[in-house]
Amino acid sequence: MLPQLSGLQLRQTLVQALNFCLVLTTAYMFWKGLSVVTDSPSPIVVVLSGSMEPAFQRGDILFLWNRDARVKVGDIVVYNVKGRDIPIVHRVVRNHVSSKKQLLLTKGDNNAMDDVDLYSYKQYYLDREQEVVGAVKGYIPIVGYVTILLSENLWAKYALLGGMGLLAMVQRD
Amino acid sequence: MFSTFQRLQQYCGFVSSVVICIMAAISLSSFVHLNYLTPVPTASISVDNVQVKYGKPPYGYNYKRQEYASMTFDLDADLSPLFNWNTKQLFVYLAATYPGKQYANKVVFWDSIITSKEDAIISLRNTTANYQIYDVTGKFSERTATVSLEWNVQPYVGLLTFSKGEGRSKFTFPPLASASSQKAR
Repeated sequence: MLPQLSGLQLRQTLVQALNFCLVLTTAYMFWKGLSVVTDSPSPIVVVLSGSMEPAFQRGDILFLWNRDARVKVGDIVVYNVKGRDIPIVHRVVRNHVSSKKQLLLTKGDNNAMDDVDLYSYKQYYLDREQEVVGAVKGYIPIVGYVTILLSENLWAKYALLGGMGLLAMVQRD
Repeated sequence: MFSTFQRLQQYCGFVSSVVICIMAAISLSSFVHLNYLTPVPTASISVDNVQVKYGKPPYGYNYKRQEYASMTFDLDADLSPLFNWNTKQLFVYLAATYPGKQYANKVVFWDSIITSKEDAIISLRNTTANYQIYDVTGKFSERTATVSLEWNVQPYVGLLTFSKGEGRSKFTFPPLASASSQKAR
């Protein structure tokens, strides 16, 4: 079943493997580089909920910036509340700044009520340094829906893997 | 020489680079239009009937008993120039900025989502604020607030724009009306 690997074939296989590694590391470097430039642990996020409609729909891609020490009222920020792992994208509607820290209240444009019930127990404000991951600066619609499709549907995952496998088998070059 | 897969790959590559170029052109042109070619809209705001009460603020999940202020306002502004080929919506809001001993504060008390050019000419009379103002310290101590009309232009693709209108209005938080005087009204 296994073909005899001549010197040339081995060389080709190794080059392919190297190329594959190159693609992976380039993507990783791009991501981490962007993280350093924007000063944000996740500089690109995909919108997962409809709470900011009609500005953002599910699957839209957002580009974040976290270099400004203080965010402003009206900014749309992404925050992670301690103890909850899903990042939330909502707008800042209250801002209280002292010399040491900034307290924020956020609200989804499409939500009737403010975000206090999304925060920790007895927490009334977000802490800018501790919890905010970045403010939204750029926007591309729809494109991120692929990741939602992959993470929420098992068939999409299998279709992608199967398709890639099939191509690798069929393709000869 | 070329396999189907390679042709497909090249086709997809070409389509995506064309789409990226078009999106960049749209985004850049609308950014220049909004930031350099559009005159800053003027807003005339007047806040009246500011009332400070004590208790749980009626709006929101903040259950602390504290002073909160409700108000009505008049607002005139023409924001239709902000609608260009790349404007998906405007998020417009009125914010009160006021100082404090420890914290400098800015609080939104009215907002609106505008999705068409026709709706962007705002003329409101005696409108009740959507949200009450309450302070981190729980007290207003008769501080004076400056009100401004601000907005976020949400594009179809590209950079978000944040700006504010010309024209400010001021009001002072009145002292807390005591229970007896509130009843008398």
